[in-house]
Amino acid sequence: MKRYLKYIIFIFLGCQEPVELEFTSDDEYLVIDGFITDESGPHVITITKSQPFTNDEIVIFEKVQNASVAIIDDLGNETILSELSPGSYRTSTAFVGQVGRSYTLTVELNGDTFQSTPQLIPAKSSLDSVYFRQSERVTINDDGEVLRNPTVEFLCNVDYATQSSFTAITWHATYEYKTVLTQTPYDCYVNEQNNGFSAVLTNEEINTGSINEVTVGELLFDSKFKSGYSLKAILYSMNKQAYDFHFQINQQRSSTGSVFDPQPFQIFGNIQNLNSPDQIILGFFGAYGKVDKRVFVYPSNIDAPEPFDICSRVGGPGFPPSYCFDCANFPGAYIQKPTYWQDQ
Amino acid sequence: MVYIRQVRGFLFILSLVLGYALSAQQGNGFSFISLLDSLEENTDYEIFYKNQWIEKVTYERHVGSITELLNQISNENGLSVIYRGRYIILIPKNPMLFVDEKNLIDQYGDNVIVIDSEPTDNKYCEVTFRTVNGTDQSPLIGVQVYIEELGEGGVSDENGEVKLLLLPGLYTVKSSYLGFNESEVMVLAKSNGEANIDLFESLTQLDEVTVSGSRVEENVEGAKMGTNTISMEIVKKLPSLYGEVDVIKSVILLPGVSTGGEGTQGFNVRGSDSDQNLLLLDGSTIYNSSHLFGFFSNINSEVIGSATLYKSGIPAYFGERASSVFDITTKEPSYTKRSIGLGVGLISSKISAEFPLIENKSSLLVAGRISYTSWILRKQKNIQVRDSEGRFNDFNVKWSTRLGSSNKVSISGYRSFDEFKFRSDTSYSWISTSINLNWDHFFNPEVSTRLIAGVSEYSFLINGEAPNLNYRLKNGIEDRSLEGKLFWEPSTDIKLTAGYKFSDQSISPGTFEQRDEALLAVETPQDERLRIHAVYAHNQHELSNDRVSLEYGLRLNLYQYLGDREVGIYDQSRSRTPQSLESTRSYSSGEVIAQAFNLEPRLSLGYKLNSQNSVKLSYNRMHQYIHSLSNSSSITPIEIWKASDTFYEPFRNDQVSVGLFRNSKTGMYETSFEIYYRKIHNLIDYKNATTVFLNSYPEQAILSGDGRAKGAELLVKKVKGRLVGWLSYSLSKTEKRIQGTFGDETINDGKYYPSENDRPHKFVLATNYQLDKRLQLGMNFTYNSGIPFTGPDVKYISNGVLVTHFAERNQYRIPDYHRLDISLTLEESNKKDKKLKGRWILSFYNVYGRRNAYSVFIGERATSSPTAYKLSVLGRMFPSISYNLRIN
Repeated sequence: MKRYLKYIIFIFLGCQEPVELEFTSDDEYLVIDGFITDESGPHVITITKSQPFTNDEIVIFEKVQNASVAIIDDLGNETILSELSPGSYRTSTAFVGQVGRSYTLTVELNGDTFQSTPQLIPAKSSLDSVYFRQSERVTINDDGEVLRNPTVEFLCNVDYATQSSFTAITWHATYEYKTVLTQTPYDCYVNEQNNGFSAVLTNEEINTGSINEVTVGELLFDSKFKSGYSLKAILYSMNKQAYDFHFQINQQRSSTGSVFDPQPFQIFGNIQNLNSPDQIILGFFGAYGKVDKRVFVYPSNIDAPEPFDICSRVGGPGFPPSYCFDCANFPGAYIQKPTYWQDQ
Repeated sequence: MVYIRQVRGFLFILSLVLGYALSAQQGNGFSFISLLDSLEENTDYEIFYKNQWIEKVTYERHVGSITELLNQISNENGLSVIYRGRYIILIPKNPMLFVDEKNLIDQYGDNVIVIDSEPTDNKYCEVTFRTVNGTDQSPLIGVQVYIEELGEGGVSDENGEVKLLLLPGLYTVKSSYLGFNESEVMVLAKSNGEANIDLFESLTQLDEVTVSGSRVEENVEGAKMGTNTISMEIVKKLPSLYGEVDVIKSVILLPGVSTGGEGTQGFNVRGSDSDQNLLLLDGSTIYNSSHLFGFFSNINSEVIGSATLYKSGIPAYFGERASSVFDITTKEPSYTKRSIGLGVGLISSKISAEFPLIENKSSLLVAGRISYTSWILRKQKNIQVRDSEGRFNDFNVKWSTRLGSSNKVSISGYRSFDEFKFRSDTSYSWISTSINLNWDHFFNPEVSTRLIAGVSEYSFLINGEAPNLNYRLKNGIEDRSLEGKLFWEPSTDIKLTAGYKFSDQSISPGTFEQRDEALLAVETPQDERLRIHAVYAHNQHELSNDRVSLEYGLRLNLYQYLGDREVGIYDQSRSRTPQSLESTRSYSSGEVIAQAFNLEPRLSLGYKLNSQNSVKLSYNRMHQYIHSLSNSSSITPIEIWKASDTFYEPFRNDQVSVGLFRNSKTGMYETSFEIYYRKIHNLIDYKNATTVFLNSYPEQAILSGDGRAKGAELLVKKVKGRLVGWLSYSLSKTEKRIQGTFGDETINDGKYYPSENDRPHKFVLATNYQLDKRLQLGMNFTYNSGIPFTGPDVKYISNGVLVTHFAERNQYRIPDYHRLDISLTLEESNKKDKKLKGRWILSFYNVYGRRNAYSVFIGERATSSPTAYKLSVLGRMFPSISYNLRIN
């Protein structure tokens, strides 16, 4: 019901526009962020510094180097993370989190010791099924025309491990990219992924042990779907502290400014400077159980006109682009067919 | 001397003795006052006069009759002497008293009223001035009646009456009422009696008194401060959104009153939350004042008789809300003439009719308003809104009757309804209803009583009809009250109001019914029940020296929070969360769970420096036992009320204010300057990341703390001439502090932080200019500082996405708000006695189309980087036209 209430404010020609804030903060905080799972590594912890809030779209975060980073489990086993690129600290491939174990992150930096609270990997909930359906996105352009664009909505059903389990969902995807204008002897594949979590949910307030029809992602039916699209839904099982953090982050990211939105507030992670406990440390160290499931969509599954392909546009400077002749030139494309790929 | 006392009344003998005594004095130029003093001292006579008439009067040495002397001195100084029993009365303009009435009428025409019906032995004549609308003889409430010679007067009560005790004599009586022509009549008071004062609407008069926040004379007079009476005649001419005349929106033009902006509900008085205003309609509490999510208010302007806002010096007969009282009474329907009013606007139409049922005995007022908003919705770009339907309506009815000469009974009913249907699967509706009975009984001119019995209700409903989620959510509050009031006016200087009020309230925080399978495990919070017993006494006291006016009162509240209820018991070593809830204690039905006994002293003091200037001081303490919960800065229609319980002590507000009041010599300008300081205890705010909605244990989400507010308010009004209007400026600061035992129960480290309603600067210029006999130009300009919000501090990267980290609560402000509105009012009729009176109002709202910020928020739309957005509503100019017709 809340999602509808948000629109009410627009009734009387409400309008939203970016606004440059008249103030800037010169606060700078240390950000320690990342998570481990029960799958094999490497798992990555990043250490960066925050940037003042502006409306700039591109923000460069200063990377913090030369920290000593370690993860200790509740049995006292210590794993040292190595800085393979600036500010990015990785476990070895062999490191695998154990369900039922707790993990604590420790960072030594310039004489300060930063430590997370112990993070338990809880019993894993599972993905009962992952599927898709055709949907549409309705928008109105500036001329008042109603535009209906077909979309592919990916959904999943989640089976919860316990009566109150906490989960977060995201996705990774791969699509097939075929050369259009001249035939090459190979097809290409392109990966894309969702940043952050598309849904953070729990069965704590729900009678049943499962939640059905959870939206994993809704994508416009565009040229990516021309020959085949495969989406892998990933379900992380986490403890309540991690759930609260991610839920709050997601809630704040989806704010529309209506009176029905809760007031934003300061979200703190689980990391503290032991030498100076009042220092604000941003970010979260998580320890999650991970499961995933994959689904394929082929153009024939979608009842919509064939999506527009840029390669069909002829003429003009730079057109058609070179990847229309060789798919390997497409940004991010690779030729090696993924092992999981299923042709229609 | 003993002998003389026994034969009092025999002035002849008296005069001989006194004549002797006085003649013994030495020298010339005796003071007349000392003569009178000595006369009073030595005899049983009481002499009445005003010092200012005779303070400079002296007389020559005189031997002879004292009556001769008195008469002679008085005559020489324009006074006359009246001998009445043991009273000797000196009054000015003596000759008039003895003038033949026919001569008087010759001289003043119809403008003289002679009161000579019941002979009296009292020194005073009790004169009841009945102020009525000259066209239909219906009583007018709130008319200022002023005796020019005495510099005194009163304001007509609910029956349109002002009772004054006058020494016999001839008086110039001036009466003024906003929207009506000022009347001036001569009244020759010889005995007790009545005088009817007819006032005529000044629709086409150039000399009309048009704009006023408070009653003209009250600015300087009396002890009241922080009180503004809203003239509906003005409100109707102010520019308005879609031409909807709105009394709530016009209150916002007064100093110290602000709002969160268009589309927010209610108003904030001196930085307080909008749930701290007591909104009374004929004595019944109205819990929600919004139509269409607060774009309009739900009180039909056609039925309003008077509307008074009390910001400070709140009399003891008002209670239960901490910051202000907005007392609206509906019109007293005419006992003699029927009339119909029609209004057609762009989004609603209204009708009101008043007609006598039994002439001079009983009458009825009915009024209604119905909206047609669909066309606006269909013009919107947002498809969600386009497919929606919204409607509202409200109805008022008031039946009023006299029973014999000493009883008056009225019953008023009110219902307001709103429905908003979203894309035909979810609808929101909210209803306010109230019904009450007022019974006035007059024992004698000094003593009367009033019994008020009322029921008031507010409910909010969400109906979900989506295929996968079919539900009904309902919450509300119900209030039943009974109040007895005693009014005692032993003299013109004392006006005592005492009474007892009992109210019984039930709150339903929300029930969630799922019609198909129970998909969601939603809690149903327990209903709450509370009772308030209040006893109060309030006195308006004019001290005899004419300079000091006092109002003082005391209210005693007994508040009880009752079962049945399960009350949570928490682990005291941790903050209140679902995890620290250890067990519950159950209370049976009617059992007292928490109670409070509170004293509320009220005091106002006015000191008149001279006829143009006065200083006033007031103090009041108020308690509030229920709060409207909302995590956002304005009240949404989903009002969840919460009563004080074992976790929260009653909210308390102590306010001191001091003011300077000045009327210019010509009466052209009125100026007031007030400063105030408030200390607030047990206010509430919300814990981060919690919800109060359908929460069985709201104490896990609500925090309690204290606050303080201070401010200065300047109001300059021009009340006469072709250009009338006012200018107001307020400077204020309102802060809160939440310091809990635990970190998550503390906000901003326990420091003071700005309240959601803190607006440091507010400026209003509202004017009305009479272009010609029929055309008026109205204009208002408003400027407000932006309200505080919790703004972004830094950006950082977490889990692959850019995230905003926010600063502490309410540390930033949204951009300032300003707006200009213009209206043109055209009166159709040009004759006083025409049966039909039409009025066209052309309004331009937000003339220069400023996109005022409703809120600033951080969101992601086009980009993946958090961006600051400004949400504005009504961000362009809105022209509108409306037509009103009155049929007499």
